[in-house]
Amino acid sequence: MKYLIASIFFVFTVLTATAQKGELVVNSTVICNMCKDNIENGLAYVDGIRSTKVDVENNTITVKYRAKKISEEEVKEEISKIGYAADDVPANPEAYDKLHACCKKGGGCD
Amino acid sequence: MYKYLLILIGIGIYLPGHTQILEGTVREKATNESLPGANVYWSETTTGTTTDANGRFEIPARVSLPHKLIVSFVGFRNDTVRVESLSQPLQINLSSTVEMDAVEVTDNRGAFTMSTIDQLNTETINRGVLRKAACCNLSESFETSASVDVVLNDAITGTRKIQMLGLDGIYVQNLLEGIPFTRGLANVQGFDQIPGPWINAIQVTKGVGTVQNGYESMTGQINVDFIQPDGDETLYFDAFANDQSRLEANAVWTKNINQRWSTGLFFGGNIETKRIDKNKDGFMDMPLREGVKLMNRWKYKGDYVRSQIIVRYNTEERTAGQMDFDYSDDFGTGNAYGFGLNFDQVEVMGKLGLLSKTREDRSLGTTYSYSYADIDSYFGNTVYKGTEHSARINSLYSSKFSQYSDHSYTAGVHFLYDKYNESFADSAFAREEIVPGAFVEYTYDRPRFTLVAGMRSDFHNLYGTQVSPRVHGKYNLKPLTTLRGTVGRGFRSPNVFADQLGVLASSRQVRVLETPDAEASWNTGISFLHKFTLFGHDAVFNADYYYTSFENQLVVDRDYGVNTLLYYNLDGQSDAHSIQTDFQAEVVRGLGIKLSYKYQQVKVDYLAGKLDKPLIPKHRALFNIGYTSPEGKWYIDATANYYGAQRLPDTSQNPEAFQIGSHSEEFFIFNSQITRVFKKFEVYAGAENIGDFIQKDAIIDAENPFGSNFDSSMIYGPVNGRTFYAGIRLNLKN
Repeated sequence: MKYLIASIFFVFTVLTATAQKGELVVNSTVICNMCKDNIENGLAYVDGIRSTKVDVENNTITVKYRAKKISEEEVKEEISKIGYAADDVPANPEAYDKLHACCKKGGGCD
Repeated sequence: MYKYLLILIGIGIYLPGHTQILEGTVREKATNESLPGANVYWSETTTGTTTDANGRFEIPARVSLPHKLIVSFVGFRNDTVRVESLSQPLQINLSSTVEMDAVEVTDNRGAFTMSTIDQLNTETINRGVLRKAACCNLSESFETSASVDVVLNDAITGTRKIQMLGLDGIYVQNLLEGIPFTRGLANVQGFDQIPGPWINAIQVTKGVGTVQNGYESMTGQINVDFIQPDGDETLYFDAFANDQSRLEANAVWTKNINQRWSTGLFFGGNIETKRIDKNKDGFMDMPLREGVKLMNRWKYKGDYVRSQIIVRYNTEERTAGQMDFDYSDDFGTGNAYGFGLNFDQVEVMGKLGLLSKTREDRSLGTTYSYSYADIDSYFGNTVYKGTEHSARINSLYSSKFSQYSDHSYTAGVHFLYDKYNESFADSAFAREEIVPGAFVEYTYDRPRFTLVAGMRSDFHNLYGTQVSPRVHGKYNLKPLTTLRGTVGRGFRSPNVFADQLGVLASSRQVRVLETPDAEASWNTGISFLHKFTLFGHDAVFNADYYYTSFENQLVVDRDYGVNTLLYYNLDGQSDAHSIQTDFQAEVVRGLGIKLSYKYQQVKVDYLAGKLDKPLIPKHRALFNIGYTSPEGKWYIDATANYYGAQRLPDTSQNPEAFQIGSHSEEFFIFNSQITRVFKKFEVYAGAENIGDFIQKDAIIDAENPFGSNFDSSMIYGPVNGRTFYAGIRLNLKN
């Protein structure tokens, strides 16, 4: 049992170490907890994205991803599709329209 | 000043042990195709979610109902749905922007809901499913769930108990909207005291509960939500009758007094007057009964203050025993064996709380309850009486670490006072419990991963300091595919007689060998839940495994000698393994099936050695098929239950005529029901135990109830055969 756990841990470590990791910090229009949920939930199951952290106070999104599976531009595109700007990529206007009033310009519900 | 006092005794409404969940599917109206990626959120809140690949969503309902739910999707018109209750999955059909049709919401009475959001492994039995059960009270509401088994205590008293994870229902914590109830002496009546039509939904959670609701949830929790007073105004009435003279009637009335205050009145009455002896053993199959249940609830919904108060009264009289038993002529004589039970209970419970004006994640609340229960009973010539005063208060505060943090905590204090006065035969027992306690719980919540780690300490005046750590974890492999794990400790204080009332219906000599200690156990479990689409329809697969190991248990021993009933503290091991798998699917539109299989292995170290716990089936299966006609006018439902062989307590010392073998036979129980829905009312009819299976020799030596071999506690199956029933439900508003 001990060896099993050890070997699983080993394989896991090797796999994560060899995967090409990328980290991206973008400026965005996140203004409240609902924005945070929208983006974190919206990216949670996107192939290649490992984790997403939204910093509401500094208006940034930090995305950790696997460079082999997804590019920086594609990550920004995914953020845009949820209705938020990602640096130079503007928010998809249709998706932005569908956001809760809280999350639009001048909103903020917290 | 008053405001701060209010804060101190703060909120409870938003801090239930379970996350209430609303489930549904979003489809495109024109094509009826599911819409993945649609936004679903509660209006005026930040609680939202998106639909998965099959258009399905689950959204935590941390709002008070009714509340508006907004559904939006690129290229479609936003839609707003007024959600009245969580009891049925929503079907939302969105129109594309070019169409002008309004939103359409249809209800689906179908399946059980198992959530991929809740941190705990929870199965919700909603009002639609409750109607599948024939009648009439909570203990009969689990007929189409394999997680909870409801079994008779004995062949005479007609009292029932539940079993979960292979263990007795006393190790499950029962909650009424998050507040513990039916504990202590009220276990005698159990869930019989709760009329089914009062209930909006039931959540069954396997494994140890969170630390927030107390220390007693050792193997699971059953939370019951009654009809809320602040929804649409209700005037509901129903009546039920079966061919064994059982009559029941229930009524519910709710009213919104103004925007803030609402109230509800609930009534339930039951009567059974005919002496029936189908199995020809000289004893009534079911007791004669008369009972009344009343409840009044009040709800206050301010902007930042919320409060609820529930007052409940419940009384029941049962008489059972030999067919010609008459209390005034026969009690105390030895002419005829009788059983009588008078049970009365008054309960007041409530919640009070305050919401933070600046931070949505912060709340402070208190739940409180007081109950007085009184039992007066006799088994033949043995009298058992008891009273219990019980008071409880629980205050908790919860907050995120910072406003935008994924980390949050809940901390609180708990106080319980219990006073028992009991007498059995010539002995009197009194017990006073004073239990202050404190708890803290940490939650880390990410989109795909949730960890809840809690710790509580309770300082029991009789059992010393009891520490109960509990950890729950959840990981979503996919949006609707979930892996969960849990481990934790719980304890309870045993009640020698009230916990196992049925075993007293025998001529065994009762001996309590030592003062009972607290019962304590560790429970570990893992579960896997996968929701998917099979042939274009929704399907769910669930598998779980739970292991419970007792540090101490009050062992009830019927194997030491055939004429003795021993109670003693566990010396050695007592553990239970339970594995369950469920599969449910819609086969064609309107036709759903459910298949469950459960394996249970429960072993206890008795004085005579390690044995399987008696009267627990190792193998248990359930098959349910239900059909709803397209317009929702007809509901047809059939269930088959399989119970494998159960070990029977040793009877080899009995004369040969009174030996019942080492194991019970395996058997099937079939139930079926049909409902026709009209605009203002619905009628239903059905049959229970269609195969007419009756346990043979349910009472050992029934002819000599005052002789030494008499025993009615060896019960593994039904004592009454096939019954037919019919009923009507009237909705005078809506």
